[in-house]
Amino acid sequence: MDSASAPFDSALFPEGTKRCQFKWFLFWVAVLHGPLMIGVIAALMCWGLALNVTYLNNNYPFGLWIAADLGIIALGAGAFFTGFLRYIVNIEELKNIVNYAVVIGVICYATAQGILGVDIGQPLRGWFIFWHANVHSMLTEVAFCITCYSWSCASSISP
Amino acid sequence: MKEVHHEAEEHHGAHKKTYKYGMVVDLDKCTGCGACMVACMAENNLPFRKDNSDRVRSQLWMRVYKISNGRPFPDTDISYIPRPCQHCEGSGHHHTPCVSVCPATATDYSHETGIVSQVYTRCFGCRYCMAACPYHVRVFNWWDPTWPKGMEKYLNPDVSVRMRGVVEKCSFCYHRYQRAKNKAYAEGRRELHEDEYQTACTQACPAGAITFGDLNNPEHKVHKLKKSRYAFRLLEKLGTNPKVYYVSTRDWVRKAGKAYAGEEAKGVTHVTHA
Repeated sequence: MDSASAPFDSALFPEGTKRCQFKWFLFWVAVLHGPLMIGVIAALMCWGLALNVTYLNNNYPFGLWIAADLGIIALGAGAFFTGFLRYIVNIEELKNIVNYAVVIGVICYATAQGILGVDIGQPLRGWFIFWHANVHSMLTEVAFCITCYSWSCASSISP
Repeated sequence: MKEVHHEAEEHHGAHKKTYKYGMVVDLDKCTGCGACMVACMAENNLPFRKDNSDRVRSQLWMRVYKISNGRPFPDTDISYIPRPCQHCEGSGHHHTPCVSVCPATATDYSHETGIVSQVYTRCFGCRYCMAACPYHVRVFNWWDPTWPKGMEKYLNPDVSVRMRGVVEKCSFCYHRYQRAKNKAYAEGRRELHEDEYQTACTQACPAGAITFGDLNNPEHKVHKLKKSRYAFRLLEKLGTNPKVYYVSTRDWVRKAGKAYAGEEAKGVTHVTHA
């Protein structure tokens, strides 16, 4: 690529790639924002209209979201463990992927907590899980773990 | 409270350590009329919807199930099972299912009365307790509670209404226990009489199928009734040790109540009472 016509940030492009046209950029951004907007609208509906909008009922108090939540947490756990292997066990080969992995970990744990914030009936009382913690509950353990892991991942990518 | 019970013990002699309130329901007497459900809703300020026949999303603390032996005529037989919260005591390494899973200690087991409580202002609506309860006694407030205009004046002032997003359940009319206790204390007593504390469903049952009282107190009717050879508890094998006993002279009813899977439940169809 001619250095005169190349974009000013071309040094940051991965090798062998080039910037696409602006319209294609907008198209793919719109595609990626589709699912995100569904989630945002669903969250606003849950908060505004109460959880009856989910069509869950007293016989099925947990919905498919729990599978999504656990999947996201599992993916985040992979990222967290990759960080552990790189920074604590010092496995040199992981140095090329560890940054991406940790970023994904932060996104996963933050998303999992965000989903829980939508799903619980009284989100403003979510902190009761720490304040009035019942140590016999698995959910208490999960809450403490994903909070610690997300802080741990976030701190490892902080400047 | 412990001193109180020691005093009560000395006063009464036969009393064990604490109260252990429980219920005995005679299924052979129950006609399935639903008066217990109505009385419970009125007593405990349960909201209702335009179409309250949507059982899986309606608020019901006391619910009457209908079961059938599944046999063709003339051997057909049915039974109704009124089902309040079972107020599981747990036993050994078995815990009260909802109490052990609640992450915010919003539900607790009272060793003073044996009643499983629900703290509405602490519950944040994760619904883990609903998933854990083997009896489906817990209901979630999927909507904000509403009453037809003017009807809010008939709400029971002793029972708080619940906001949306929290789980609720039968409390054995705990406010009645508090009221009876206050009255007894004011009169200088430390012991409640059997008739001083009765739940709304017990009083409403026209067939006299429900009996309520202290399971530890030999003077209370439930103490004797629960020892009947026809007495059983729902899903007894789970080890939840419920304080609601059922009595039926019919074998298949007892079998249906205890059984929960496979061969044991064979030939028994469970139908929700509409």
